[in-house]
Amino acid sequence: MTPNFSRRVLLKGLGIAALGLGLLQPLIAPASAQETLVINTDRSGAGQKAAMNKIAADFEAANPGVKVTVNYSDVESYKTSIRNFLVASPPDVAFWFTGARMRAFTKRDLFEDISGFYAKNGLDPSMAPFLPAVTDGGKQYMMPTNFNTWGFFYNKDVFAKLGVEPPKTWNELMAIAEKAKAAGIVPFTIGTRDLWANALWFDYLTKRINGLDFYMGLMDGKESYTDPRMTKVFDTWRVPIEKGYFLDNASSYGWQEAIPFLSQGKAAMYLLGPYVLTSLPEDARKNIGFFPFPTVDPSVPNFEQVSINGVGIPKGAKNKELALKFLAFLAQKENLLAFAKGGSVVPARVDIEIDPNDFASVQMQQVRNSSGSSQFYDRDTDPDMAQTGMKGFQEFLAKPDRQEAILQRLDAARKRVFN
Amino acid sequence: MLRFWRQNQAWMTPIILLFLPLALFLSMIVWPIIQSIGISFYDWDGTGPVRFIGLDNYRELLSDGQFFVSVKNNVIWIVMFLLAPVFGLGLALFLNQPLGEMRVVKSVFFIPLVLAPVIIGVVFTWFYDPTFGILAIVMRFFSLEPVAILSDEHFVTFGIVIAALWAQTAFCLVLFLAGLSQLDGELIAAGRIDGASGWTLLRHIVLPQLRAVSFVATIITVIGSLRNFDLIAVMTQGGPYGSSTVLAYQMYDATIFSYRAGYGAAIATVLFLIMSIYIAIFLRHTLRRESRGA
Repeated sequence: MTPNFSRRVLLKGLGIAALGLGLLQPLIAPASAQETLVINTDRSGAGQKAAMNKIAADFEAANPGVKVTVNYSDVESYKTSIRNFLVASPPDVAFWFTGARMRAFTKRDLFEDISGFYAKNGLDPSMAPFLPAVTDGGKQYMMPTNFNTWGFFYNKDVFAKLGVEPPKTWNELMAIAEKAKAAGIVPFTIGTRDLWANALWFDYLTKRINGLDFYMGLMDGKESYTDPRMTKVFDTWRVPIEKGYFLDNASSYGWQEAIPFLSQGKAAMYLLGPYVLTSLPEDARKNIGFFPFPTVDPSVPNFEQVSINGVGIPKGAKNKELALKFLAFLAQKENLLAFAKGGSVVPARVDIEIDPNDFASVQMQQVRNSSGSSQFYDRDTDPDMAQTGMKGFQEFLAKPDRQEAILQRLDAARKRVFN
Repeated sequence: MLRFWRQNQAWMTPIILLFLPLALFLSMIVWPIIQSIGISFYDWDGTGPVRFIGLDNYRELLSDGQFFVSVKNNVIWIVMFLLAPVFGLGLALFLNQPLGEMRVVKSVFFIPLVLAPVIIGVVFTWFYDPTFGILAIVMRFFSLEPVAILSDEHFVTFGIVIAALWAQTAFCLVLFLAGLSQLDGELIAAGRIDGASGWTLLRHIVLPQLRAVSFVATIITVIGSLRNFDLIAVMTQGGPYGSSTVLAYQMYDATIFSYRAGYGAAIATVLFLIMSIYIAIFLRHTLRRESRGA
């Protein structure tokens, strides 16, 4: 009798459960009738977060019945998670880097083609200079949001104490470093634990010694890392390393952890982007000055490093129409300006008036003065190559005498990646 | 229906009871293992097209300097990690005293067990910081030049293992404390009457009774050392330049950052083989000793 009884109870239980699920169904449905826009972003600094929250709220107000969910994530962990969520749980809108980093995903068909978006919203002329960065095979996959330049951030007090002015040439830069070192101040602070900050030195020296064409050839795997021109780059780079101008034990610090040395006056300079400013509190920011990477070889034009960030729609997005609407909303001058301003970067529209007192205008000037630019090592070359390369640069900074072995390893990786 | 059940109950019950765990084990553990081994014969970026390349991934492993660095670090991990059961036992013997105050002391030793590995990693990273860390401050106090443990290719692995040992020792401590509470008081009393004390008592009366616990503690410690990943990811990201990378981290690095799922799977397969061989030898050895002892 007992087994029979329990079976009946079980059946009853199952029936109730099924009924319950059935009842719940209509309850879930109306909730999704109200449209939800999911945005994943790594622009999570306080300023950009506040700007984004406001833009999202304004978008909700302008589109009744739409709910915007913004998932913020820090930059470094976003780099690993995006690969996962683009495939497994794509949001409607995803912020990302342009260039090779974008193409790594478009190649795998993970971003929606939004080529028609620009003409439809009249953004063609104002975004034209940035479109090559978001183009793959003649189609556009992202909307550029902002760009930033890179260069030396220096401690004004330290420079005043040393009695030096921002340098114009590599030799002047080395002279300042020597003075700082003699005064017991670390000339260049740097944090290489997350690898990329160090690639700036490589990028600038390669471009300023061998020109942009060689650099792009190297990024595309057409030029060799064992080329004599590369040796010249590393020989130049090695001088400040061997003289001990860089922060000791750089690999113990993340790029952000190296900033306090600069703001506290323990270090004189940091080759980085506007993130130095956004990482510091308002009053510390006033003491930080900026100068572009100095001329290394007068016969080579001053090529710059200009990184463009953007936003795209994943292939698997559920609300593509709404997502396009959001992109158009974000592209409006005041929104794009507010968003860029939050991160001390420059909005990616040429028709936006920039506040001359803002750091954005300095960056704008830097771009105008340059003879051409590339984005960044890990946005211009294959991700596999970039990972191996940046590890090599990290090793070079710690053990410059291994130059030969490092370059050979990089070239082996280049041959494997671009075969 | 009922009669069918009564007649076949004997052989059906185990099948029904085993169905769920077996299904889970097969689908969540065995199948992914087979799949990983399969993927290791392909060149695959994780999402795009796959290309069969046979043993090329393994051939590349043998010429990859990083692979041997990882294996070397794995060996350091295993050897050093085996200190955890030893320290755990020592601490357990010390803490296993019927004093009220001991509770406070015990809970202090348990702390690392309740902390997430990520937190332990962050705390130790600060501890080792060559400028602001406690270690550096102490070294400067004795007018020594602070060592940047996490930036030195020779020290870095040891630095991370010590952080991991802190937590693993607490884990072994708990196991041994539980084991000590199960000791047969009569045996110990008998030993004492026969004049055993101190080392002799520990060696011949207490330790044999802890054999099962030691076995579990050792196995779990070894497996923990082989699959360690979180602390490395938090403290150094495998650096500087790959010198603290172990196989598990290299697999992650290859798969996620270099978009090489096939190569990552090959590393995973090697790690799986090492683990299987090690555990097989260990099990065989222990079982044999057990049957001899019985």
